[in-house]
Amino acid sequence: MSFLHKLREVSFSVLPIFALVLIAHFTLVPLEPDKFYKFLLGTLALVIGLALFLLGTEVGLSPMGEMLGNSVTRRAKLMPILLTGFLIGFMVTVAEPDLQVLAQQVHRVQSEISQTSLLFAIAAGSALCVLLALLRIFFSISLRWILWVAYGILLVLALFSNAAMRPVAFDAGGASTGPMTVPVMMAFSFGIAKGTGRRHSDEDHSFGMVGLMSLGPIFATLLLSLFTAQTDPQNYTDVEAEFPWYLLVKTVIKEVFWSLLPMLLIFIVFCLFFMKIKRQRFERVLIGMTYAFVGLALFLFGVNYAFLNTGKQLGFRLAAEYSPALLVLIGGLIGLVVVLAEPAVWVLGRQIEDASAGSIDPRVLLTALSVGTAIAIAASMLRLILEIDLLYVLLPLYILALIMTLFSDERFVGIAFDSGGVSSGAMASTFAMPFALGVSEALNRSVLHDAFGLIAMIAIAPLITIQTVGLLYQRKRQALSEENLLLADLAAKAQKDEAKKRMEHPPKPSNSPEAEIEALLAEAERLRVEAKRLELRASKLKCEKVQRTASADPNREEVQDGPGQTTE
Amino acid sequence: MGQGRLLSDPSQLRDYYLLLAVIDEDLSDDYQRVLRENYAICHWLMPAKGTAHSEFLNLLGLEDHDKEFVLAYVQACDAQRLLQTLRSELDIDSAGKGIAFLLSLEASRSLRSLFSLAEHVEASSSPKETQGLRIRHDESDEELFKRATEVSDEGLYFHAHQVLFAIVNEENSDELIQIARSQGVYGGTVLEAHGRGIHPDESILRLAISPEKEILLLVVDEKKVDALMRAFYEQGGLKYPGHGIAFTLKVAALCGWSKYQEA
Repeated sequence: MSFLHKLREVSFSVLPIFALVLIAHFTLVPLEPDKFYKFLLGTLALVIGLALFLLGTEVGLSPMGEMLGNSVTRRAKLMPILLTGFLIGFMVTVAEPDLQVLAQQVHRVQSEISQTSLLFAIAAGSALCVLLALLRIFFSISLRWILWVAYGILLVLALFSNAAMRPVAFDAGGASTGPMTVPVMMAFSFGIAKGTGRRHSDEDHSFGMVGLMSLGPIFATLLLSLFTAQTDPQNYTDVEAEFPWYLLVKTVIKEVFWSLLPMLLIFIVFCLFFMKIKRQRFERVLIGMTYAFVGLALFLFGVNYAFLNTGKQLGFRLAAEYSPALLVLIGGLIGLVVVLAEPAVWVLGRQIEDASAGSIDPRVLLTALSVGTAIAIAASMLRLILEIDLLYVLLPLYILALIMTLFSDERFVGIAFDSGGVSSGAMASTFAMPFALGVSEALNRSVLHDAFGLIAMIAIAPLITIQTVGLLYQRKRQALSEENLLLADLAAKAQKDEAKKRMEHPPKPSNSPEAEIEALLAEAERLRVEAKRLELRASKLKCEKVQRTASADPNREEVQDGPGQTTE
Repeated sequence: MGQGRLLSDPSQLRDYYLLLAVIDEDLSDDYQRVLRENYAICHWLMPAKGTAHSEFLNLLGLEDHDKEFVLAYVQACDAQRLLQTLRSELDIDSAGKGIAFLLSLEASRSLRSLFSLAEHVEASSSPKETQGLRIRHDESDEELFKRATEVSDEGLYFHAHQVLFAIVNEENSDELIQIARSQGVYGGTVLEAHGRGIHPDESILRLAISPEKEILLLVVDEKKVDALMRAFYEQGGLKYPGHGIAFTLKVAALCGWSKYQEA
C-alpha cells in the first residue's frame, strides 16, 4: 500500500517534466520516432525506479544511516566518532554514481588530473567536511560561521584559480551529493542529532551535513587544478554516446552495484562490531537496500535512456531554430519541473518533515526549490547566450546567501544549504546539463566556459529561496507567539477580575479542610498564571520587533495547528 | 459490547472529552476540518506510523503507513455527533482510514482553567476572532441535551475498549507489536519519543545523550486487554526494570473500528 502511494506521488511529480517534453515534441522540436519511444519507455522506468528507490530509502538506507548515527553517539567519546564519520563520509562519496561521470569529465578537460586521484581527493574532501559537521555538532559552533569561513576561503581560492576550471569545479560540488549520499548522510546526522537530544530546538543540528559536504569536492577540484595543471584546459568535446539498451542496462547495474557495496560493507561491519541490532531490523535494512538497488538502477536507466539524448536534442534544436528569448523561457520551465523528479529532494523533504514533527510542510520547500531552479536555469541560459563569466554571477549570489544566514534560523540555514547539494542531482545532470550542452553547441559557445556552471547555479538557488521561506516562516512564528502573549495577558486579567470579585464579596469563611484546600489551590493557580505571564513578558522583551496590535490576529485558527502551540 | 449512552444527565453536559484519533495522513486535513466545524476545541498533531498486519509485511516494509495522531477536546454534548460525522463524512469505518475515540476527563482542573479563558475571550471579542473557539453558553441545558441525544448510536462502540500505551526502548517495540499480533490485536500506532529524567543524562561534551523511545498505542477490545497486558509483562520484558511502562485508559466511545482489526 505504501509503495502504491509512493508510485502515485512520483507519477504526479514526474508528470510535469514528461508533459513539458511531450509538448515540445508536438509543437516546437519533434523528436525522431525511435527516440520518442525511447523517451516513453525511459520515463516509465524512471517512475517505477524512483518509487522503488524511495521505498528502499525509507525502509533501508535512512534507518541504516540513523542507526549508524545513533550508535556512534552511544560510545560517547569524541575520537571514535570523528574517525567513523570520516570513514563513512569517504565511503559514501566514493559510492556516488554521478561522481565517476564527473571525474571523467574533468579528466577530459584537464588531462593531468587523473580520474582516480580526483575521485580520492573529492572523497577525502567530503569526508573532511563530515568531520567539520560533526565538530560543529559537538562544539555547538553556529553553522553560519563555519559557512562564512568555508565559503570565504573557497571564493578567494576560486578568484586565484584557473578561470577555465572554475565552472567544472563548482559543478563538482553539486554532483557529489546525490541519491546515495543524501539519504545516508542526512539520516546519519539526524541519528546523531536524535541521539544527543537536540532535535526540536531552533539550533537544530540535523541539517547542514549535506550542505557542508558539497564544499569538499569544489575545494578538491580547485586545489588539484592549481597544483597539477600545467597546460591550458582543453575545450570539452562532448562525446555523443548512443548506447543500445542492453549495454546501458549492464552499465547501470554495474554502477549501482559498486555504489551500494561500500554501504553494505559499512553496515555489516557496524552490525558485527559496534551495534546491537535485532535480527528483524537487520533483515529489513537489507530488503530496503535491495529495493534501493533495483529502484536506483531502473531510475538511472530510465533517466539516461529517456532524458539524456532528448535533453541534448531539445537544447540544440531550440537554440538553432528559435529565438534566444524562447530559450530562456523554456530553460525556466525546465527548471520549474525538473527538481520535482529528483530523488534526493524527496528524501530531504521527508527528513525535514520528520525532524520538524510535521510542522514544516515539505511541499512548501518543493515550491521554493522549483522556483529557484527555474530562475537558475533561465539565468544560466542568459549567461550562455551572453557569455558572462560564471564568477561574476556566482560571487554576488554567494555573498547574498551568506548575508541571509545572519538573519535566518539556524535550522533553515542548514536546510537551505542541504537543499543546494540535493537539488543538483541526477535529473539535473542528465537532462538540464545535456540541454545546456546542446544549446552551447548550437550557438557555438565554449562548453567549458558557458555550459558548465549550470549545476552550480542550480545548487546556489535554494540557498536563497529556502532562506527566504525560512524568514517568512520565522515572521509567522513570531506573530503567533505574540498572539500567545496576548492570550496570556487576557488570562491574567481574567484572574485578576475574579480575585477582585472575590474580595468585594468575600465567601463565608469556613474551616472545613476542603474549603481551605480549594482556596490554596486557587491561590497556587493564580500565582502560576502570574509567573507564566512574567515569563512570557520577559521573552517578549527579548524579541527584536514586537508590534502589539490592539485587536488580535483575526486568523485565530493558527492556534490549533502544530504540536505544542497552545496557550497554557 | 456495552451499549450505554454517553450522556444521561443534563447537568453533565458541560463536561469535556478528550478525542484521540489516529488518522491516515491523506485524511488528516479533512479530519481537522471536521473537527473545526464541529466544535472540537484546539487540536494537536503528531506524526505517527501504523504497524503492519503481519511480521512478514513488516519485514518487506510494504505496510509502513504514515499516520497523524490527533488530540482534541470536545464538549460532551457534541461528542457523539462528532463521531457520527466522522463516520459519514470521512468514512472512517473502512479499513485503513483511521480510528477515533473519546476518553473521559472528569472535570479536570486544568481543563477548567483553559475554558474559563476561552469563555472570557468569547465574551469580549468579535465573533470573527474566535473562529476556532465556539463554545456556546447561550443555549439552555435542555437544548444541549436535546442536541446530544438526537444522534444515533449506530456504528459506535461504547465502553467496550481500552487504549493501551506502551513506552519502550526503540529496539523493543517490534517485539511488543509481535506479541500483540499473536494475541489477535492489530492496528497499532507508533510514536517517536526520547527518554529523559530517570538517570542523570550521559553527556558528550555538554550534549545530553537521551535514549530513543517509541510509544506504542493500541486500541484493544475489553476482553483482550488483561491477556495482552499479561503477555507484555511476561514475554515483552516489561517485568524487568528499565524496560518500559505500559498502561491503559478506558475508552468511552469509539468509531472507526473495522473488521480488519478483529482478525
